[in-house]
Amino acid sequence: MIRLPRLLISAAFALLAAESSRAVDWQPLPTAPEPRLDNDAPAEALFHIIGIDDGRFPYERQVHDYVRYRIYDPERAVELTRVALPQVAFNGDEMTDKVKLDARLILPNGTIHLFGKKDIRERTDLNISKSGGFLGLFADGSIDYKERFLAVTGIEPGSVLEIQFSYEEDWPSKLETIQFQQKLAPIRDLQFNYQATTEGYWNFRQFFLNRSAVHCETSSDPKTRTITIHGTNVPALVDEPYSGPAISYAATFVASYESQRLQLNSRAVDEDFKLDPTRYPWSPYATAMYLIDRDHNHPTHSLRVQTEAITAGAQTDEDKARRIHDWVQKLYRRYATWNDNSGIRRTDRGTDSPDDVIHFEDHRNVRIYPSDFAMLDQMMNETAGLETDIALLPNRSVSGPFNPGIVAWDLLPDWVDRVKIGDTWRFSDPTSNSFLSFGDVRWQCESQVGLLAKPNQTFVPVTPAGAKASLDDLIGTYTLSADGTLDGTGIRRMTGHVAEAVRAGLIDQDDATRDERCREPIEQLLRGATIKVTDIANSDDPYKPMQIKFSVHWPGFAEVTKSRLIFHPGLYHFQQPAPLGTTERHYNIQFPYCHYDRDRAIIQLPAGFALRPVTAPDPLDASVITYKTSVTADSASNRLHYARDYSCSLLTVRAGRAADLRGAYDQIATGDQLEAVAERKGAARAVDSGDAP
Amino acid sequence: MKRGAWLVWAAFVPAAAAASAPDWALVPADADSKTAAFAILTHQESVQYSGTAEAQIRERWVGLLNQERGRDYAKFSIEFNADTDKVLSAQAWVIDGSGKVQELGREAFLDAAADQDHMYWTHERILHLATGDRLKLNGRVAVEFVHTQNSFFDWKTYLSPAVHTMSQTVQVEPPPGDTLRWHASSGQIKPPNPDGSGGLVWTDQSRNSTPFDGEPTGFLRNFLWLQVRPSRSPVGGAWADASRLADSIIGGQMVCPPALQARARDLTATATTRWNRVRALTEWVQKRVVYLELSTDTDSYAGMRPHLPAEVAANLCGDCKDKAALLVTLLRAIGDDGRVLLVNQGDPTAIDPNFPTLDFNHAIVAIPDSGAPPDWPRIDAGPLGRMVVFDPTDSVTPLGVLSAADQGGWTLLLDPSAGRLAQLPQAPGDQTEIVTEVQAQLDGDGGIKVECNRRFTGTAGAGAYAERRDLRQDTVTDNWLAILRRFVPAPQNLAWTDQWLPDAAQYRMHQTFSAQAGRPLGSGLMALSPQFSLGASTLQEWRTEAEGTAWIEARHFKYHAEIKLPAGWSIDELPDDWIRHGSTVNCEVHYQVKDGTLDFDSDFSLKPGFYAKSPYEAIRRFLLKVTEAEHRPVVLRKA
Repeated sequence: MIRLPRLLISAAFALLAAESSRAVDWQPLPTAPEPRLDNDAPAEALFHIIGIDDGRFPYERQVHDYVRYRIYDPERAVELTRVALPQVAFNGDEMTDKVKLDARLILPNGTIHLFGKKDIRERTDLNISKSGGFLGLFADGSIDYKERFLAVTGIEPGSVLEIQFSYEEDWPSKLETIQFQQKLAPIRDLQFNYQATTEGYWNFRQFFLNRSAVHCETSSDPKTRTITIHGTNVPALVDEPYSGPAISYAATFVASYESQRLQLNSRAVDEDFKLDPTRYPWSPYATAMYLIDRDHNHPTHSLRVQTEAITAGAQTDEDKARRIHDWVQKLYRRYATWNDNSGIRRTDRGTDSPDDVIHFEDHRNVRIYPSDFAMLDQMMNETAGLETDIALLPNRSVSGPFNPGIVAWDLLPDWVDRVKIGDTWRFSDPTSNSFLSFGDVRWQCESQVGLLAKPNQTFVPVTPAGAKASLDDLIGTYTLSADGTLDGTGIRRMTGHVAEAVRAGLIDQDDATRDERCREPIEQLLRGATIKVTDIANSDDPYKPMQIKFSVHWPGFAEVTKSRLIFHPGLYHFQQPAPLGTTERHYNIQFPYCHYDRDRAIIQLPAGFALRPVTAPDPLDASVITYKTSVTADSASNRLHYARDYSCSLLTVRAGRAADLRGAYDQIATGDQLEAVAERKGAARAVDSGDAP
Repeated sequence: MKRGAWLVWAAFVPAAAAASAPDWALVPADADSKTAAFAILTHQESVQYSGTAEAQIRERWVGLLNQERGRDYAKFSIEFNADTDKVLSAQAWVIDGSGKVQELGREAFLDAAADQDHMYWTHERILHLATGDRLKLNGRVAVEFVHTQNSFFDWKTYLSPAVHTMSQTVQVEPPPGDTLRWHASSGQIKPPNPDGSGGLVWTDQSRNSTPFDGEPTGFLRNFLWLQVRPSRSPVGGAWADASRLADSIIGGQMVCPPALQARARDLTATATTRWNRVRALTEWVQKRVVYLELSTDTDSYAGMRPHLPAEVAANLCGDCKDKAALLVTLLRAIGDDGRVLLVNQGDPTAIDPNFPTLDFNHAIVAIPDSGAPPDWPRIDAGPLGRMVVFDPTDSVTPLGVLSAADQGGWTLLLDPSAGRLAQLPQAPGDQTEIVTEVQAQLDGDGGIKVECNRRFTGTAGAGAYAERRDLRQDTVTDNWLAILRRFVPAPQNLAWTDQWLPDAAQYRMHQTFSAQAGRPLGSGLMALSPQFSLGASTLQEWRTEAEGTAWIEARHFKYHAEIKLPAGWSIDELPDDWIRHGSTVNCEVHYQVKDGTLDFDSDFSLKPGFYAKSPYEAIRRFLLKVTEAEHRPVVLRKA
């Protein structure tokens, strides 16, 4: 599990004060103010010292965090100076009495204010009484989550604010991520000390991600398992479009522990199966997941009956696998809706039979994960006589592009089934938040590799669907009036990931919301037009293109002069902003998926107007980005035919190449500005005589 | 006993009891109630006052689940103040299609803080029931809350249904020997029937919810509500009574110890005129006291009582009432004066001048207007004369301009003897303007180099500066390039400087950029639209069926461009001037060519006000014509 960045946690924990016998050690008072590192930042961390001691892992983790800010703009820095959090540890325990907070405020005139327990407010944030656990995580009942809040008051511009907190967390997570950079404040001096457990039962790995983002020195002692990082002038993070999750660009320390033993429910697998961490780095994880998969794989009578019913009449293996995929996907969608709306439930055990999943409504006390549905899919395929295995996939939207060198188990969170059809392995991903057809996986998992849940390390490619697999067609027939108004009807037709994203937004929504969610993207394209959605089709059938029919009424579409109409035949894209910013790019560009846009428009010109010749812009064929438009006039019918084809097969672009990409988009934007002129054949147009209200 | 044993016991209790539903939960469902995904068959509220500020409230709902997607609406909650109110009971009955009943007690409800934000720390809590999978298709759920309210604020119930509602009933009983005052937000609500004992009963049948989609710009949706209080409530029956009560709560806190007096003198030490001294204090309070709502008192007046001004000045944190009380205290400390005003921020239609109440949501300040510039916003404060109004919670909008969200509604001036309701001003167009002046040079290839000066004044200035202040430099550049791209192809090389002048309430920006403004039309023709900046803008179409009005701020856009045309090019087509004057909007667009320079002027103004659908749509359509007129291109021909 990827946890909150350390700096966010530090803010959160800063409110948690409790009794402690430890005296507060404050560093010597700061000297005169230094030149600002970043004039745009409302605050600056003069130093940030983080110490984490996992010497007693897995029983305990000790954390000490000490940060000294200089606050330049108190109003914009409130996220640093105020902290509030329902206090729950990773294991679900309340952390009361385990966290100590102190703050010291030094005003520009040298006055010092100390803040501690007396300044912290507390209230019960959430109270669920005897009925049981919360969101399936905690089943011990009588839960009172205390929210604690500290607002450091009296901060004047130029003040120095120091916050220290420390706590001990019982049974901490096996994966700890500490993000050093944050948005509001650069760090002048960063010190990080980490003590890993020396207990041989745990295989420990540590990584420093995006190290080049900061200037720092690191040292480690493998014998004592200590790591030290010292950074200077660590920049604040900035917002950039298409930059992916922060873990893919912010300097981040990752500590990962792997247990060398598994505890299984099973009747069939040896519980003391020894994992060997010395083998290929991912082999223990692949083996562990294999054991878990086998541990669950007990086809029941109910499963066999259900599988037979689903596959009855199927003529081919692919047909069988597709039917099973569709059935499990529908079951998962039903489960997801049920789970979202089921409120407070007690969940005091995990699944130990596929019947727990098939009949989830009858097993309210069972904790069910999406991986259970992937395993159900696998069991059904095996029951139907197909060869299958489980693949563990990374998720780009959570952890950025996957790097097999970063061996942290939680970086492969998504389970999918893999089915052999003839000589080809096909994926079945029944647990996305949309509807996928058999063979497709959600875009977040594409274009990387998947680890097979087998007793060895086998990665398989998860190749991206090509751009043409994710079509976004906009087709319409319109009539242009002499006053510049455009009217007509159009169809938006989508396949692949484009449709996947739209379908996800329509699931379980009422008619008004579905209409709004289909209409708004078209309104964004045709800004200035009134759009009415007239039909939505195939929103839950991934095997057919999703289709939205709409009508367009667009006053002022054409610029009207005395003797001409000037308009953009590429009506769908001429108002679109450039996808990337124009300033220097800091972080790599990460697009979600490859896609292909096809625009087609037929525009009937008004009587008495004739189209002047139009020259289409130069095409672009950079293999990963292609762009081509054509405009033809049918003088007999006085119609203009416009076609635009654009495809992008890029997923990741290095920051240093952003300028090249921007150049390509500039060329496309210029091409989209193509204008056509229709000249009036007769007398000049009379000036509009409408009145003002 | 161990906890585990209790859990086992608790888990088995529902199964052991044979539950039955109360009679009111079995209200019949007709065909109409089955047309919605989730329908409320009946919603009953009854309020029994036992004192002038104490009431027991019983709320009941019966809901019917017809379709799976209706589950999202099968949620019920009440908000209450953990310090002053008590939840006496919370119960629910879930009944499946066969009539089998599951009874749920208080333990099935979620009890949580209502606000979780860096800006708020209050005692408001929420008690919530999500029926979840307990409720089956074609099943119904009945929910009952009984709680007390201890507050002099009016009891207020919303009658705009969130879901299809078949029947709604409100019953209110006054305290013994008293009667009720009531007010409905809309004429749609038929007057409640007095029941002969001073109470009232209101009922309505079968109403649909209205979606929020399709609302016009500045829409003030008239949520239907009914508000009630006992006649002998301390709020009283006149605005002066309400003012006196609020003043006793807020004014009582406005003490000024010597240290705060010294602070006020320090802050104004270098100011040489009265308004300079006032400005020093207003700026200090608005900029240095950071917003934080933190309630500490626990009595029924706590929500209105500010912290002591000396504490707020020391902590440099406070909410609207804290900041307003501090500013008035500081003004008095230097021998000046001021009053706290209560307003309904964000909804100028919220207060009915015929129904005195303390149902306000914000506090600002009034200052005697002696010597103030004539265009500053004022109210008529009756015996206190005219007073300048200022919102110290808005950290940007300076003295001399009233924050946009405060404009146009009613305000209650707090004073022990001169309290009254007054109308807040709306800024006229010439105080809220955006002026753009452009000098540019076009070349024969359509490239243009532009130097542009922009001035945003009044609330437009405050808004532009507030937006810029919170952004990084490079984000501002990107945002402006995105704006420019809407008017002129391929803008680039944007460089800019800016300046905020609070005394003049003006944000200025100087920009230079280049672009491909001349668009080739073939055959030696080139089109040039000289308007490449923010213009009259547009309004959202009014599509909603919901009752309400649109509140439109003043708009005044002036744009002047002088564009030097390239040598060897002449005018092929020059648009006619476009001049329209009306009672609410005015627009003039002029094109002229002189000595090889194109002069373009556009001047648009819109009168602020509340607009119903018909005049709003007329304005919206007119704005489209203005946009069209402003963007008519000049066509150039190469010699």
